[in-house]
Amino acid sequence: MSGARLWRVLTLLLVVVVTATLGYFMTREPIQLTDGASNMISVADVGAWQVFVEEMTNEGFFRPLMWPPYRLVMDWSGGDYFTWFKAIHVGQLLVLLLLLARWVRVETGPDLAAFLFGVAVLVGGHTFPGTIREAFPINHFLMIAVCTLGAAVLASERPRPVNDLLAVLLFTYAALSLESGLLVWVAAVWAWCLGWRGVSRWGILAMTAGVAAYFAVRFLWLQTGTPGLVERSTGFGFGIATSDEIQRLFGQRPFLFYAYNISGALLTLFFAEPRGGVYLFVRGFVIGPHEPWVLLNVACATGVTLLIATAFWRRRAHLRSGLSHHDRVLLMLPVMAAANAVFCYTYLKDVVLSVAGVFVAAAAYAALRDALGGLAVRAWRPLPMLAVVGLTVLSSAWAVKFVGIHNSVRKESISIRREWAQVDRWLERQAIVLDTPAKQLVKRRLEADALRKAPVAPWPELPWSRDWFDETQ
Amino acid sequence: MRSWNLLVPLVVGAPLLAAMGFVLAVTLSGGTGIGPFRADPPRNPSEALILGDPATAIWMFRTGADPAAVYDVRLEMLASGMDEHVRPLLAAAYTGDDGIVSVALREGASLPLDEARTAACWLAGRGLETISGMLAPPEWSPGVCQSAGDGRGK
Repeated sequence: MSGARLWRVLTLLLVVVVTATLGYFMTREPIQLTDGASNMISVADVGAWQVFVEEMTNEGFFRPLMWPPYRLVMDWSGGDYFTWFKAIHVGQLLVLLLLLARWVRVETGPDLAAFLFGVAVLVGGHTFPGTIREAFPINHFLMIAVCTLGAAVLASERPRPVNDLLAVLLFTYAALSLESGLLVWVAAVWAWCLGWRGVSRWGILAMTAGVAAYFAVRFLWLQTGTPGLVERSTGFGFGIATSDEIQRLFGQRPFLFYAYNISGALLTLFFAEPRGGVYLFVRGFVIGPHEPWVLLNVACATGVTLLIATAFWRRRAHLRSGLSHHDRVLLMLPVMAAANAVFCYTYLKDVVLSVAGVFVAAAAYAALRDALGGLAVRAWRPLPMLAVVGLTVLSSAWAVKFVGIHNSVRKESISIRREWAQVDRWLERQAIVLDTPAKQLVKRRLEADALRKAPVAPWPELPWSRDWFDETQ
Repeated sequence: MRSWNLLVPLVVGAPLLAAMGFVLAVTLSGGTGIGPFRADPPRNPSEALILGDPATAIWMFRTGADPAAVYDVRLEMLASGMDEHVRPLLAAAYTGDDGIVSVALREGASLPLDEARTAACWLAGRGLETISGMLAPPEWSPGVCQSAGDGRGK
C-alpha cells in the first residue's frame, strides 16, 4: 500500500469511528415533539405533492421541499419511522464527514492529525450541535451543510458534465428546503472564482439562473416576502428579548437590528461570542458569574481563528501568485462566513451558521496542516517548541469539546424522552388536535418509538463535566 | 527529520485521539453491555421514576408492571429520608417534579390511604405543597400532619 493510500484508509477509518460514536448517541434520541412529531402529524393526512403546494404559499418563508420528504419517508418506512429517520440522520453525518475528507485531501501523517483536529472543530464547534442534537425527522440544517460542502467538493474535482448536473440538483433541493440553501450557489461561484473548474461555467450559469428564478418566484410571483421582526423572541445584549421588545426598539429602524445580528453572526463564528445573540462571555465579566464552559468555548474558537489567521499570513505570497488546493480551502472561508452571516439577519441562531462552521473546520485543517509543515523543518528550537506546546493545548481544549458533544446529545435524549412521557399534555398546550385516525396512528407509533426504542445511552460520571461541557449546545 | 515530521503531529493529535478513544469505549461498552461504561438501566418503575426517566416507567407499566406494587430501589439512587421499598407514585414524588408525578398518576399509580397521608405530610414538610396535594387523600389537610406528627423525623 502506498503512503498516501495508507493515510486515506486511516482517514476513512477515523470518519467511520466518529460517525459510529456520535451515531450511537443520536440513535438513542427519540424524534422530538416540537418541529418533529408535530410536523409529521400535520402531514399525516396529505400527500407529498399537496404538502409541496401548501408550503409554496407560506407567508414569510419559502420552503416547499422541506416537508414533502417527511411524507415520502413515512410512506416508505411502513410505519417504522424511528429506524428510517435515524438512519437518514446518521447517514447525513457520514456523508458530511466523507465529503470533508474528500475535499481536504489527506495524504500524509501530518494531514491525518490536521484532519482529526478539523473534525473536532467541526463536531465540537458551537454551530454544529444543532444539526445532530435537534432530533427533527430530517435535519435540514445538516442537509444544507451536506449540499454546500458537496458543491465545494464537485467544484474541486476534475471537470465532468455530471458535476454540473449534480451541482444544479444540490442547489435546487437546498434552496427549496431552507433559505440558507442559497449558500450552495455561493460556494460554487466562489470556488469557480478561486480557479476550481470541477463545475463548468455552464453549471455556474445554470445555478445562477436558478437563483434568479428563485427570487422571481418568491418575491414577484408568490410574493412570499421575508420574515419580519416580530416572528419570535431572540437573543439581544445580555438576555432574551421578546418579539414585542424588539419591535419597540427597532420597529422604526430594523436595519440596525439586522446589523446587530449579522455582526454577531460573524463574531460568534470566529470567537464563539455572542451565543444566539446573547453576549455570555462579556456578561460574565460585567455581571457574573463566569462559567468555565463559556471561557472554554471562547478560548477554543479564538485559538482556531488565530491559527487560521496565521496560515493566511504565512501563505500571503502564495495567495497572490499560484494557489494550491489547500490555499483555496482556506480562501473559501471568508466568503462563506460572510454569506452565511447574512442569513442570520432577522434571527441569530448558532445552527443557522452550521454551513460556515464546516468551512471553519476545513480552514482549521488547512491551517494546522500548514503549521505542522512549518514546524517540521525547524526541529528543536525554542519558538517551534512553544508553537508545539500551544497547538497541543489547543487540541486538548477541543478534545474536551469533542467529548462534550456526545454528552450534550445524550442530555437532549433524556429531555426529549421526558417530553414524550407527557405527550398528551404537550399536544393540549400546542392546541394540536388528533382528529383523524392517520394523525392518531402517527402519534401512537412515535410515542411507542420514544418509550421503547430509544433507551438512554450510558455515560460515566465526570465530576468536572457540569462546569466544562457546554450543555446549551 | 522524518521522525520529527511524525512526532509533532502525533503530539498535537494525541489529546484528540484520547478523546476519541474515550467516547469509543463508552459507545462499545453501552452497545455491548460489557466494560466499565455499560448501561445500568432502571430495574423497575420505581427506579425509573426516581431517576427522572418517566418514559421507561411508562413502558414498564404498559408491558405489565403493576403501578401500585412496592419495588426495591437501589440505595445509591436514594437521598436521605427516602424509603428503599417504594411504590412508583412515591418514587415519582421523591423527584420533586410534579410533571413526573402526573405521569405516574395518569398511568394508574396509587398509594394506600395511610401511605398517601404519610407521604403528603413528608412532602409538605419539605415545601413540596403541590406534589403533596397531588398525593393526599381527599379529606387531608396540612394541619393533620402537625397533630399526628406524620412525616416528621423520617
